[in-house]
Amino acid sequence: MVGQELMKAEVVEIVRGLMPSADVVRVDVEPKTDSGGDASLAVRIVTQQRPPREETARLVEVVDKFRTWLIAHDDERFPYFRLLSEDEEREVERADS
Amino acid sequence: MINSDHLLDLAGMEARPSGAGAPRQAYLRRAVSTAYYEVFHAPLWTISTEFVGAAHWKTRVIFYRSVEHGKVRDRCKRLAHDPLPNDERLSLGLDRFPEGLRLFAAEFVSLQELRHEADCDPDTKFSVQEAQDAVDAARQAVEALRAAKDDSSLIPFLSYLLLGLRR
Repeated sequence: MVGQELMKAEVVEIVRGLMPSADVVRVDVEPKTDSGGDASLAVRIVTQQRPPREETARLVEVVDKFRTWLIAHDDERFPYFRLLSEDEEREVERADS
Repeated sequence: MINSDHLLDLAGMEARPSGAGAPRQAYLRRAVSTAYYEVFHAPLWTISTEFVGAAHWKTRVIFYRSVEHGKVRDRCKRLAHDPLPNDERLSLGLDRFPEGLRLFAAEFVSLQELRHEADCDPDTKFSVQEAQDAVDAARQAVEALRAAKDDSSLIPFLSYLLLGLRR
């Protein structure tokens, strides 16, 4: 299985190609069990500013490319992505339940 | 039948509630959940219209009711696989589905998980923008499915979505 640092580097590379305006400040990749009980990955991309809508609309392509890369490395886990700006991260932390 | 475009309009309204201050998480959770139901209903509608003639309209309900969320998610994981897993490749005679259908399948999986978090995980919180992104993603996925209307791989895609493979 591919190491987490290599996965993070690949995510950054893919995001750079599909969302050129995204100034990525952090990528978190954590193993998780999804709601169907399958081993999967939780990927969080944090950007300084929110990229324009035409770029955030390409997140599903990021998922597709990253998953294809994982499969090529014999990793069948589905990657679940969240894309947040730093401001949104703070908004989520402050939010009431 | 449920009009999936109306579900999208509803999800859009839930993601942009009126009123002062930050929107309540309850609204954002509903927006995410409704966005998922949009991508759930869109293939059901396509399956029922492709496979059942208008003269047998009532029969379409049987197709609608036969589809289980978990099974469709598992099948979508395989439909989005690039290249297709061996069993699917041999059974369907395809190396992979076209990008639009593959992205629909990947979005289905992602939005179903997000819906699960929205409805069943009290610790999950969403930003306003994330809820709006979920609505946009659902809209985009449905457009991709509709754009495949004349694609020769649509029927194998829908057949697999509905029935899967016997293993």
